[in-house]
Amino acid sequence: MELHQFSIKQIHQHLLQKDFSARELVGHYLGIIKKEELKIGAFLSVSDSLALEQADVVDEKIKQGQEISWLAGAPCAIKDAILVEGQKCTAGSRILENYFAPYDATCVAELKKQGAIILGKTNLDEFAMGSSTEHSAFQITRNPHDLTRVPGGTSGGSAAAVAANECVFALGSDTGGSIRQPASFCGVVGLKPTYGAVSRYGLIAHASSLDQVGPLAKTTEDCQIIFNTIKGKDENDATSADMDNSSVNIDLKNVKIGIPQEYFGEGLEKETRAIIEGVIKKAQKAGAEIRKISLPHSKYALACYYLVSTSEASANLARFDGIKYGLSQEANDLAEVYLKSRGHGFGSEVKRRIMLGTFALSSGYYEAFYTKAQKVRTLIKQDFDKAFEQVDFIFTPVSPFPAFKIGEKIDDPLKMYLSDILTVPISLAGVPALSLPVGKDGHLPVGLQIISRPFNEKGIFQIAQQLEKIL
Amino acid sequence: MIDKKLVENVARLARLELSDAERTKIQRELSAILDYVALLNEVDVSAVAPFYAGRDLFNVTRADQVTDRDEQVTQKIKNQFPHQEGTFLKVKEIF
Repeated sequence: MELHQFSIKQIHQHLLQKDFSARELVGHYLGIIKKEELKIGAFLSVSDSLALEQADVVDEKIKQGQEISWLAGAPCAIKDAILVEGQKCTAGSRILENYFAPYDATCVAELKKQGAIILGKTNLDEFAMGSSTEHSAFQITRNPHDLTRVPGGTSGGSAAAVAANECVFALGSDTGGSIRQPASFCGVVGLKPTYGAVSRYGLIAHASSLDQVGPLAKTTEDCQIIFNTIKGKDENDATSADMDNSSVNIDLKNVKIGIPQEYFGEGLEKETRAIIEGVIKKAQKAGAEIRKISLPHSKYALACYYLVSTSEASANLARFDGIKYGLSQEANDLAEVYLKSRGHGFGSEVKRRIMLGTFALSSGYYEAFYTKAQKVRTLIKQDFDKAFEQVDFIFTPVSPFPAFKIGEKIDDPLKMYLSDILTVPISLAGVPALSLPVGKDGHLPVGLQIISRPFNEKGIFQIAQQLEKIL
Repeated sequence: MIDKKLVENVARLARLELSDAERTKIQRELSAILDYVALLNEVDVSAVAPFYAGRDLFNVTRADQVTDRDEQVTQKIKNQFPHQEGTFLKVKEIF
């Protein structure tokens, strides 16, 4: 077996058995990165020497017979919206082109504590705004399954890196689908945790009531190991929460799975529908009770999302003003510093969203747009609350279609936004969802979205693992 | 709803310098997006409270005490000041 085919647990066993060293493993992955990056472009920066240093630390521990954790020696990649101390963190933007992270994000600190090895930072749509990674200010990332197509976004670099065997796992972030959709497009597993399950400290904020950091990996088991490492209450993030650590025993034989009619409408591509319906049938055969349910406010979710997220983003991006860090343009007065730094530093999608959000929050429009959207959000959340009184899990497609061609939607913002139609309701409700690869439309991966009630990631992982076995 | 004047006002509020071409394009795009979000007019929210946070949250405070500062982190932050004078962050005059 090739070194890049091992799961986290397998790597752990092999390292303990001294079948290979962490340095050899990292060297192998760095070699793949060197080869694949010419085609894929998943990484914005690779930190070879640092990675090898970290590997040596793990190897020394093993040599000394010290205990090492599951993640020790496992090479990973981090989305470039998440701070890794001493490394550049650009958020895919020119306004942070030369910004160096002064501290580690909490999720990164947790990974480092366990001895995971950071290979580099991955590409994303600028400030995590987009659905294809095409809005990165720096480069295009290509889908490893088809180089003419997008990897999805905004965690496209992370998803592509895992799919192309450039790392064992990656961290991404999800605001409206940015882990789940690229995971689906690239055929890897991706989790958007419950809002509050993972600390957002050190994640460059897009929309503070929606953002979550989450894992991407080849298997559900790997995702679970990473999630268990990064989850938990953090005093630096007042919105984070501890989770109940009691064990659950979920089996397909005794669960109720809800299928919301609103997610299987006209816009769903034929082959995607067939694949998802096939999985539902298999779950049913394995004993699950399948129930048709309705999430009646689903059709309003996208409009709601593009008011809520852009309003929050307009506030969060106000800090990029050329004053304390980042691009600072030559100017005659203070106002010009702001206008020119932001005008030059932000790309078109970011400007569009800041404008939309600023408008929605402005005097005379605030009630009709922002407040109204937040009220519709309550109704969307209530749909899920009611559904979870009837069922334990909800199955839907992640995306109405598989990976689209590079350039196909870039000139039509609204068309691009419609890519997120099946993922944004989940974000608005704050519930957890996993994207599991369940089939292919030709050569293009298709993902199943497994949704559950708040803080039931454990249940989701169990169901996903059982599905992995029967697919 | 979105006319040139509104675009100019919003851009000023957002502290964004836009070229003429950008302004025209954004006017068109925002109009299209706002036409789409008009869908929300269908929803009766008269009996509904807004859901601002991602989950049930309440405000938290801590004691107003200086906690330990990491001098190294402070220095890393200062090293990235676009304009510095001594230990101060230098900015254009406000008045």
